[in-house]
Amino acid sequence: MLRRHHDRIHALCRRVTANAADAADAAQEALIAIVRSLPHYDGRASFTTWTYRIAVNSSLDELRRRRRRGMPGLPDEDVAAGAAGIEAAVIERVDVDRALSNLPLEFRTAVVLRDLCGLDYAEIAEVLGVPPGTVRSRISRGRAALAEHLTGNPQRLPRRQRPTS
Amino acid sequence: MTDPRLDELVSAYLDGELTQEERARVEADTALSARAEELRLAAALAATPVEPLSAAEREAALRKALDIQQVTYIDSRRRRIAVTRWVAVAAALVAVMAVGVSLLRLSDRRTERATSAGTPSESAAAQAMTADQLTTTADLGSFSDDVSLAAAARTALSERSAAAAAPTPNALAAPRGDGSAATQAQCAGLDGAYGDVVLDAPAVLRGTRVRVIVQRARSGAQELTVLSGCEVILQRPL
Repeated sequence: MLRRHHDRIHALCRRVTANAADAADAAQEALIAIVRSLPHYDGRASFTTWTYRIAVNSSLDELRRRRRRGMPGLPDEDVAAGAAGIEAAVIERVDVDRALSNLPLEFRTAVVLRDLCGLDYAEIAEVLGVPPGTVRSRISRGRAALAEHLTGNPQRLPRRQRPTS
Repeated sequence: MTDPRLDELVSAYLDGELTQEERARVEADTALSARAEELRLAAALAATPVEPLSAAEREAALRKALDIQQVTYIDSRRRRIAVTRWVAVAAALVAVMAVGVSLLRLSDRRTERATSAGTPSESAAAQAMTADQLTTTADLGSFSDDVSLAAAARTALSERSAAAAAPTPNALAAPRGDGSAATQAQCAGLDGAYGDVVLDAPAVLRGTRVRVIVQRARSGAQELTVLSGCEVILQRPL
């Protein structure tokens, strides 16, 4: 079961922390928290929503730890892959983590939960513990800020080479 | 500069969270439609898939989470066992202390009995006096002869009679403690057959510590008994 959810958890952590190392740590902490909390899972929220809530909290904790250490993690280079057409032409020039890291954390989390994880407003409200109206507003403002990056000043976000592995 | 309220409408349009009427409004407005395209690109950027960890990294992460859980489980079990062990040790200590206290009390009681059962002495008489506090009065004093001692006993008796009109049960016949029981055993001559004890007081007769006892018969007659330890050294009507 953990194996089935791992990639989603890691992806969420990666986009919220905007850093590969922090994402790995946050995902690890999330997995541990999930295993520990499993006996207390009461089934009120769907399991996926529940794991997302834990992953978001782990990511936020990781960001707080990073801030306390006084070592702000630089966004990693992660250009979009697999996009096609005009969209690809725009998006592939953008460092996703860097673009997301420019968003305030509450906007970033809401946008990632909606656009990457595919949760609806009610589910996001449950994960974040805020009203659906707040979710709608945060997503809108987050997307608007991202659109600024895409259309406003794309040169500042040059495409970088993905390290070959 | 875009209007945040219109952005919210357009963003919700992209997410299918609008009513039919609101949807129609967005689709009918070219500016809103253009904005919808910009926000759609932003959403597509945020939806960019994340390259997953390698299988080895993923397995390592899963193993670590499960191992930590296992360690936590073992730790909590050990903690429970340790707590149980401490509780058992504490209970055993309490039990040992309780037994110890009981044994000490028993030992004290035996020592008291042994002391009482020893040779007749002033201490036995003193213990008996302590047990018979109801009839015991203050020291009568020091006397050089039997007559003055008897006179003092009479005086003490008359002083007491005002305070305690009713005679007390016979202390010698009805032991109230180890002391009086011992006295009764040792002072075989005083079996309480004469009557109730109405005076029981210490005194010194010719330099010897004595116990002065006055018993009253049903007839009203009184008898004076002077004990040195449990030895009757004087017995006469009063």
